[in-house]
Amino acid sequence: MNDHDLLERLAADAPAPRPEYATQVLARARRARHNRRLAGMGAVAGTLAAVAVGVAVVVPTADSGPPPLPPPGATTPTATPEPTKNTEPTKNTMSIDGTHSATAVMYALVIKNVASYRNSDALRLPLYLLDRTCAKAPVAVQVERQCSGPTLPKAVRTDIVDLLGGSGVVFVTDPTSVMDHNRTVIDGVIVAIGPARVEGENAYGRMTVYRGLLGAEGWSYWLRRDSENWTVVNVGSNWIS
Amino acid sequence: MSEDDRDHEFHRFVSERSGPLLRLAYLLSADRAAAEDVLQTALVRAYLRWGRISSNPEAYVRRVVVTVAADERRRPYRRREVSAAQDIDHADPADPFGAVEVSQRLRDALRSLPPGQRAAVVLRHWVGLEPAEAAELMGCSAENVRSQTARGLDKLRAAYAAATGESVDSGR
Repeated sequence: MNDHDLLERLAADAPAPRPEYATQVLARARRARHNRRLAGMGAVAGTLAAVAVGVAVVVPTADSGPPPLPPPGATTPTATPEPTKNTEPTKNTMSIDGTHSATAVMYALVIKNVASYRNSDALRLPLYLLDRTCAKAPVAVQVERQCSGPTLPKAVRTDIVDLLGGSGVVFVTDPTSVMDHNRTVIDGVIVAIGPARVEGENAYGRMTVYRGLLGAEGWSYWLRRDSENWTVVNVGSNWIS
Repeated sequence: MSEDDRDHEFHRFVSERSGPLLRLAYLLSADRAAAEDVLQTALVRAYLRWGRISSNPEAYVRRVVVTVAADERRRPYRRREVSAAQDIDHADPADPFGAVEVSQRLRDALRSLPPGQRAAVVLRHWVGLEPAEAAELMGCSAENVRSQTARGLDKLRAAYAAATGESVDSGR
């Protein structure tokens, strides 16, 4: 074996692109071009919305993107394969569909699982996601102490909102902006995402669901991926306060 | 060239070349999820300039992949946090005492390389670039590429030898 063979052996571990990969990348690229044109025209790509007390940043949803275009070479518009969208993913699995970043799919699956374990109606309430990951394991009860970590890239945030269905999912920079004077989260829950540690096919991490005076819960997760999906191996509650 | 023609050309390019490019992204990032994100970002960037990429789009995309992979490594959120889940059992429940496979050891060795060494090894010995070409992509000197390549290869060879008991020929 020589050096090239050694690297070939390593490269064999790389994921293989799915057959529809080119179509999905093209759809995403068109969306990027559309957004860039909007920005060029002076339109605001994201919408700023006042959320209760303070200001929260609303990440643009998939609805703000361009209408689906036919793939090159398609004879009729009706033949357009829509980008795979996780509108109704199963509880424990979420597809890595190529139109969203794999990192966003991983976080979205965890958030969806935690929210559904916490309360089956939780996803119908506004879900305030901190746009910063936690600097360390999110165990502090005071949620504002948890938002000192690195900020998730905008593309990942946009994908997470898209994957979770858009409406009712809001990224906030300052968690106190969605609390009332009693530090109760106004009509929703705050989710602080712990940084995921990815080792090969496994990803581990923690997150906190925070409801102000109504309490907080710490969760840990363990996901595993194959070429197509992230799957939950275990999501469990560690502590409740 | 109309937008539809450009889209068609881009689609064909991605269909034909995404396999090797994904392998390049994987070798540079040593992480499957990160590799997919890196390639997707690189392809979207390339698409936005597709009309101005004249002769060799693969070389252009490869250059963007190298840049994006380096950028991703510098992002704070990509830095590995060791505090988050140290107490979680990482063992595979189906085979908790299983032997560490050769490929796993090689993967670990690749992941343990500093990004510069990894990029130098991959560009020189997998892509097949000359030191000067790799240096241009990496934004450093050819001498630097040579030394980073040598150090990175030493570590990979050592990992392979430790896992299999066989040595690696240093020739290409």
